[in-house]
Amino acid sequence: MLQVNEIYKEYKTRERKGLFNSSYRTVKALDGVSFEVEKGEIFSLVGPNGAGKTTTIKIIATLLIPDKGEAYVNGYSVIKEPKKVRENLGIVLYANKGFYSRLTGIENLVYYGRLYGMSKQEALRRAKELVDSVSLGKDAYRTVDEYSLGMMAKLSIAKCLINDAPILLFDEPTIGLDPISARKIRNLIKELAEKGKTVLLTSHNMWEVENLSNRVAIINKGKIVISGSPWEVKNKLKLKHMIEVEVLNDNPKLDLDFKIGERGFPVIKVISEKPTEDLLRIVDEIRTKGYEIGNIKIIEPSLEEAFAKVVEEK
Amino acid sequence: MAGNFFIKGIRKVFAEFERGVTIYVRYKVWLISDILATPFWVLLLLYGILLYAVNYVNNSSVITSLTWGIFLFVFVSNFLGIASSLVLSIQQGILENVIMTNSSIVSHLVGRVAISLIDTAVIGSLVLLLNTLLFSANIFIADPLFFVIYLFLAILFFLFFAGTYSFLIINVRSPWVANQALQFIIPFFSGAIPIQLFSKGFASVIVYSPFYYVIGPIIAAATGYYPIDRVLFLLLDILAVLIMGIISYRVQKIILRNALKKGKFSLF
Amino acid sequence: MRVINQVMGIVEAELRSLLREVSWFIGISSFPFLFAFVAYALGSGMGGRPADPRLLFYQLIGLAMYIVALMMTFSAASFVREGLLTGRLEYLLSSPISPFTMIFSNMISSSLFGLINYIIVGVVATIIAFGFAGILNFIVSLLVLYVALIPAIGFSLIFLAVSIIVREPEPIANLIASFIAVVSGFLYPVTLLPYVLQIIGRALPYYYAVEYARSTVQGFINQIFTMPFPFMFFYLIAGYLIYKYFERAYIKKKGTYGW
Repeated sequence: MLQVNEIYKEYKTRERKGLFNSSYRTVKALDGVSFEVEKGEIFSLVGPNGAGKTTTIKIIATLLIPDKGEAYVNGYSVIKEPKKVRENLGIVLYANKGFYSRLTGIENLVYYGRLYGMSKQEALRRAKELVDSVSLGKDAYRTVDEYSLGMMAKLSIAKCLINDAPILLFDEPTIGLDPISARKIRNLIKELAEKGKTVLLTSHNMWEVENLSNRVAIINKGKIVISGSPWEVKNKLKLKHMIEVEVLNDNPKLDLDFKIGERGFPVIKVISEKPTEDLLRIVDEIRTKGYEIGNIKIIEPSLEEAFAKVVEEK
Repeated sequence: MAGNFFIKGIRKVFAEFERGVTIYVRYKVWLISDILATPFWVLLLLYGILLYAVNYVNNSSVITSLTWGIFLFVFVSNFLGIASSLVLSIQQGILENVIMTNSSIVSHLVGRVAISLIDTAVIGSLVLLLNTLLFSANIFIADPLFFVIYLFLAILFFLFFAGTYSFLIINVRSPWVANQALQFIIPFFSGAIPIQLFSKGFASVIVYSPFYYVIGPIIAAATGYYPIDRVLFLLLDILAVLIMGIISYRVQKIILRNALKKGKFSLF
Repeated sequence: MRVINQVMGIVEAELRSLLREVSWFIGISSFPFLFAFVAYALGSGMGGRPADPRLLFYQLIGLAMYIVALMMTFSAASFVREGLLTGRLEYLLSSPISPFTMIFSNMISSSLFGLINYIIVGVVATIIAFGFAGILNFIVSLLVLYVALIPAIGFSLIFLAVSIIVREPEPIANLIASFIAVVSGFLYPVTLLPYVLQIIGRALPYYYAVEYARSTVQGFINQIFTMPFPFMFFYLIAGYLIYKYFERAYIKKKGTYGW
């Protein structure tokens, strides 16, 4: 499992002024971030650009030392036992970088496998398995300088899995992938979690996060603003449902407002906090007045709305 | 446990070495270009120096000494390239992934050592051959056994040196600038141009350079002119390698932590 | 007016990014000093006494000119190449700017950058060899150097055409740069070279640029009128024609720059 306790991190950025002048500004990247990820769980960290997602991942991966706080990977401290931590981690850091351009995809995978201490044959066998898992196919035998962003993303995921680590960190793993490849990768991540792998994921694709994650945390300006299952997050934010009811009559006499919908019939649209009660009320009124009902839709609030609400309110 | 650790270590070094060789041979056009350009660079360096001593153009022993000097210039330049390879590794997002495998940075540099070794062998041999054909240099190695030993020690020394130096330039966006300065300064202050060619006063300055005890012996074994006893030279050479190894270990430990604190291995 | 704005826009952006790479700038400027001073120290060491400072001047100024010559020859190609690799070129070409204006603007910024380097190195070299009295001649040499290097633009255009077609132009540039360095007399008089190389050197414009500018600093301005410089403009015409040929035959046919 993964445990992050109250981590803080600041860094300096350089701002250019004019031709030669520049000044430094201190930025609070993380401001007391805490969360836990259980074994077999998919936990997503979402937030706007510069919110602190990658910094968090890098601290967990021992690639950055926090100013304050601690994180544990399978019980090992990222500060005191970095080697043990690394043995327990697989990571996708950049979807478009991290490989030697003049080596083929498979040669890069074998290289990393050997750096994890595998023999060449063992690394090659594992690399071939992974190339199939991520659907890289024959592209694995092309040099990386010919890769598209999508191919690179697939290769990064394969690299992440080469050491069969129990905990996996994915920093925007499906960026640049076509919809079918992205779906395959999502299925793969799900399968990995079902097999007991712990997954920490960051993504800007809210639909993906909502469908993939057991739990999610929204991070903004270095702080976790809200966390829980996608349903809990939306519930906590009291996000409203949209109810749409189509009436099969050209000019119904109703107390409810309506607009003409795509099929040419009037559609009643209501934003609701209690969708079941409101829907029954609308249906009752339509039936009482003797009209026939066409389509009924209840549109749940999306995680994207939750995200927008949290970030924009801040 | 220790055996397993050792086997893993060996596997990592082999992986890096093989990676270096594979990449080197994939840059075929560069290799051909370097081979074709070498005669021109050799001429440029030789004539550039001989402008000050035009009467030495037909002096075989001076040309031989300068030839070995250029050979070692190629060697030093190539091994300084190891240091900038670390910056390149960061820029390509590779180093962080390498760190995640628990590999040491020195073992990662072995990949570039492979490139430096092949390049020195190819270009260095070409330099020796050209100067023999064009200027009648005598490239017969006077003391081959010691030449090989000294060369091996120099490779080790420069691996440690590059390891240390690469950490120091980790934040430099254009490491070639520092390399360029060092590739001139190190050979000059290391006896790459044999000190017997210099006046006594000038030669006495060079013996204070630590690089002299790494490069100087190679020149001595090649030309057969030992300014000090060859065994003593060997001992001093080993001492220099050990000291550089210790410095490299200490510097890396200190700077690695600092780099991880400031995120210097990160692309962003 | 629009063309002037385009030129100014590119020149300013290019110069800004060139000058902001401080280490790069230092690296370029320090190269002549490093090489020339090491050679001078070796020369002095071998001779047992301080060598003639005029030889130091000879090499310092020659190396500074070599940098200018390289910038003039390869800047357009490297601009296009970098643009291809970063995707910037497509943005530029999608704006209403002619490729020629783009290349011309880049040449201006590179020349200015080369000029700054040449002044830094050249002033030091001139003072070492001739004292402050040589500065006036040095200033005249700036003009002479740039006029004499105009034919090198022809090579620049040829190399630009090559770099658009070839996937890896850098190794070719490496080879050409080494060849130019050897035969053009930047570090030593070409008379030291084997006869064949001397002839090739004298057939290229770089030799005249170096010789003219160096002679000017030394106060022999009248010498330049005796040299066959006008013939060098052949390269400018040839370069332009070759570039145009490639543009028609390859770039326009393929629909874009690059591979």
